Order: sequence, then structure tokens, then C-alpha cells
Amino acid sequence: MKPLDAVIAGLSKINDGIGAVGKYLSLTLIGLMTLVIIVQVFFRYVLQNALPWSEEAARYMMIWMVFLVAPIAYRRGLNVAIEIFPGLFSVRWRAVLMVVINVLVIAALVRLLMESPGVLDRATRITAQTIPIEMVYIYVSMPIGLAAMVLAGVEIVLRSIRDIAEPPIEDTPSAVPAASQVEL
Amino acid sequence: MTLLFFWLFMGLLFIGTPVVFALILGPGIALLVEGRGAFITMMNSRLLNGLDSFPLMAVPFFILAGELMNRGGITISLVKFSQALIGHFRGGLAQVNILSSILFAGLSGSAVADTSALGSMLIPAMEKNGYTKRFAAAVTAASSVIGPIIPPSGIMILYAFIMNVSVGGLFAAGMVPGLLVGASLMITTWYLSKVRKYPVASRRATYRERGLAFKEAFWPLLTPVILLGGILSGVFTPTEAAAVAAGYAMIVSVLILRSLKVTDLPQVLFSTALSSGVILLLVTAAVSFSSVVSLSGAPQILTEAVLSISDNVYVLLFCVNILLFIVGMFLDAGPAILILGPILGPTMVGLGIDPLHFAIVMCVNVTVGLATPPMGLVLFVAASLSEERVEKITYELLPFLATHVTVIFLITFIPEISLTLPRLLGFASWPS
Repeated sequence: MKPLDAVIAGLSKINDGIGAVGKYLSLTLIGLMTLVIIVQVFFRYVLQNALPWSEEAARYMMIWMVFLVAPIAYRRGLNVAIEIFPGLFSVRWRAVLMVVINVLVIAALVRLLMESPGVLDRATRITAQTIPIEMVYIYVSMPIGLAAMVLAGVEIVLRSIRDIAEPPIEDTPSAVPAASQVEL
Repeated sequence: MTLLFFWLFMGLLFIGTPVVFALILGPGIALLVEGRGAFITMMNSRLLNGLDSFPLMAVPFFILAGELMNRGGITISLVKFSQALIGHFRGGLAQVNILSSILFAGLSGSAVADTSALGSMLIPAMEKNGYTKRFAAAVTAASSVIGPIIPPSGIMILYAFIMNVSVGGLFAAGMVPGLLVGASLMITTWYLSKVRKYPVASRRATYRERGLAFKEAFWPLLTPVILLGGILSGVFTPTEAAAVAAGYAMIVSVLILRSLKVTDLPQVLFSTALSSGVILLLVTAAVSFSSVVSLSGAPQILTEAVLSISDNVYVLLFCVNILLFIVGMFLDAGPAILILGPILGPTMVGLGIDPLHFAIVMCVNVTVGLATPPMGLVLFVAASLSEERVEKITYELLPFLATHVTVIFLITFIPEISLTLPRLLGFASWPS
């Protein structure tokens, strides 16, 4: 399985790079969002002068933030799933299930990506309400996020295929699935 | 359009597809199979527009505030304060655990944050004091449920967003039910402590010691006052309040308590971005899903099916309780609210149930689901903190779950528990 390992290693490097960029951009955005809204409150109550642009700007930062972290979360397996049924199987069969699920996910992501040119084309003709930018710069976050998710999905599928060929030694089931770090 | 999308969705969930992808794949495949692929354009635009919401932004801000308080040692000051107040009772640490959860609930809106913050501190302390680890874990898990019931509350923001009710009204409505859950758990603990002769944590604190503990907890305890006072009096929108709370938590933990270093901030911000991104993506996938739900006419089908069971409102509410309890065993609070809210909400409100009342019933129900096996995040976190198996904790959890169920029935069948406070504060139940 040497060639497969090489492909996985290469893809993993690319995804690491994308993840690092996403990490720093998203943490900056969440910090900025918080700051902008605190400033909004300050201007309205202390300076008696409401800012017109702050709310819209923060909303767009949030959209970008979500699509920047989506590929990282997908790759790290942070999206919540019900793992009772997969838990009944051996490592090898679980890997087969992972391939099936993630191929479906990739198909969905690609189908959604096919919608993007239309959306972006319409968005070039719309300008944001209170900030002088075209909406295309906001909407483009979605295809970028989806494309990065496709890459993460391919890596997950390839890794699962390798697990089918050479199942890793069954590790003791830990009490906390990775997904439980995220909750509301 | 048939209900194919729903069965596909359930099937995908069953085989272990992450909820967020099942929400997109179920309707997506159904639309393609039924030759209505054009609606995928609608799903796609909902995925983007679902995120473009200012009220929804309260979610990342509250998560940030919670992360900051969690790492910033604010938990410790709350626990010390609780201990100074009630540590001298029999079963003292167990009671301290519950009281700390109530206080923490006013700062954070998440049950898992509550479990990990208080559990990592109190489970080892309780073990040293002579409790079994599994009981310590059970008390922590059971009382964490209060976190999202007493405002602020993440799942209430989600419910308000997807069902278009007032966040302020929901927060006001959650206050009394949350305190009721806390008080009931304390009574259960008092009884168990008497029967099992649990230890006393410490001697009675002097008033001077209590004063000192209060002084240390003062700044953190001011958070709920600023938050709720600001929201309920209309000074802030909930989103602004959440941003201010995050800023305040940063100042308290970096400058006043000096428990968080500036160099730790990037890590805090990234884990906030990551957890809020996961939740917001789920929200927007649910928005997309529910557009297909309304396209399919499922709510009407459901209303007819429900009305064929009974037309007595109380019987139906009871059925909803049972349904949500079962759902809660398998699904997290957030997804349960986002998926079932748009289906059940309009049906029940159409039958004459107050929207705020129904919202509270749903929120409390799904939150308790976080602590019910076999799938319960709070339970998993408590298990990993205590290094006990989930089944063993479950056994100790049973009296507390019985308490939860009793309170759920009280809240369900006595609407005044939820509605009195919002009415006094002037929140109209019916959205205008």
C-alpha cells in the first residue's frame, strides 16, 4: 500500500496548510466580531452615536468564520454523529462504513459546489447595505469552505480505505468520543 | 412530495452519518430521486442565508464568554463561595456541586461546559471526602442540566432563532424552571445523604469567611446581573449582551483575577471559533432541512396524525414529553431543537399552547436528554473526568433522572411556572 500512503501523506500536508490558514483567520474573525459589537454598544450608549455598519460587518465575519472552520471540524471528526450502530462492528467494517458515509458527503459537497457559480454571478451585482463591498466577497466563503471540505473528505476516505486493507489494532474504547468536545 | 427525505435522514443518522450532513443528504437525495432537483438551489441558498443572522451571533459570543470563564479560574471562586454558604450540611460537597451549577448557569449557557468546569474540580474533591466516584460523577452530570435552563442559554437562542420567538422572553421564562430543577436536585441529594450517611464537607464558615468568599466571587457573579439586567430591561439585544459578557469575562480573568495570560487568548479564540462553527453549520443545515420539511407538508401530516391520537392538549403534551425523552436518549440538545422545533412547535402552538411555555418544555426536555444514556454528552464528559464507566454512573444517576422527570411534568402541566416571570416583565407570549 505504499503509493496510497504517499497520496495520503501529500494530501494531509495540503490539508494541514489549509487548516493552519483557517485557524488563524477564524480566530482573528471571532476576536474582531466581539470587538466590533462591543464598540457598537459603546458608541450607542456612551457616545450617543450609533454606528451604521457594525452589525452588518460582524454578520459577514461570522459567515466567513463558519466556512473557514467547517473543513477543520470535518477533518477532525468534530461533527456530532450517533455512533451506536457503527460501534457494533469491528474496526475493518467500521472503516467500510466510513467510506460509504464520506463518499456520500463528498457527493453532496460537490453537488452544492455546482450551485456556486450561479450564486457568485448574481452576487457581483449586489453591494452590501452599509459597507462598500460587493456581496460576492462574502458569498465566496461558501465555495471555498466546501472545496476545502471536499479535500478533507477525500483524505478521510483514503485513510479509511487503508484501514480496510490493514486494520489498525483495536484500541480500548475511550469514554469520550471526539465529538463531545463540541456541544451546545 | 413524499416523506422519503425523512426516512433517508433517519437511515443516514442510524448508520452514523454526522447530523449536519444527514440534514443535507436526506432532503438532497430525496429531491433528486423525485425529479425535483431544482430545489437544490433553494437548499444551497438557505445554507448561506441561514448564517446571515444577528440574533444567531449570540451563540459564538456566549461560547467565548464560557471558554474565558472556564479557563480563567472563575469556576474556583464560585465553588469556594458555594462551599462557604452550604458546605457544612450533610452531603455538603454534593450540595456545593449543585449550588455551583446554579451559579455557573447564570454565566454560561452550556451543560457540557458546566460539567467539565465543575466536574474536573469537584469529582476528585468529592472522592477525597469519601463519596464514590460514580456518585460524584452522577451529581455533576445531573446538576449540569441546569446550565442551559437558567439564562443565558445556548439552546434557547437556537430555539428563538429557528422558531422566531423572543430570546429575552425565553430567558425570563427559563429562570424559575431552572431554579426549580436545582432545588429538586438538592432535596433528592439531602434525602440520599441522610440515608447513605454522606460526610459533611467542612465546619460551618464564619460570616467573615463568607464575606471573603463573596468578595472573591463578586466580579464573576456580577456577570448574570449585567447580562440579564441588560437584556430584560432592553438596554442590550441578547447578541450585544453576549459580546459584552465575553469582553467582561476577558477583563475579569486577565486583569482582575489574573488567572488567564494574554498569550493564552489565541487558543481560547480558536476553540471558540471551532465549537461555534460546528454548531452554526448545524443550524444552517437545519434551516435548509426545514425548508424542505415545509415543502413536503410534513407539519400538516403530523398535525393530523397527532390529532387522531387525541385532541386533549394535556395528553398531547404528555406524548411530546415521551417523544422528546426518547429522542434525547440518542440526540444532542442542539440538533433535537433544530430538527424537531419547526415540526412540533407550530403543531402545538396551533392547538392553543403558549409558544413560550412550549419552548421551555422542549428546552428542558432535550437538555435532560444530555444526561440520559446511551448517548449523552454530559454523561460522557462526567465519565471521562471520573474514569468510571457510563453504566455505573447511570445507576447512581437514576434518582436524579427521576427528579428531572418529575420537574419536567410539573413544568409541562403548570404553565405558570414558566410564564409568570415573562408576563411580569412584559414579554408578550405571542410574537406580534
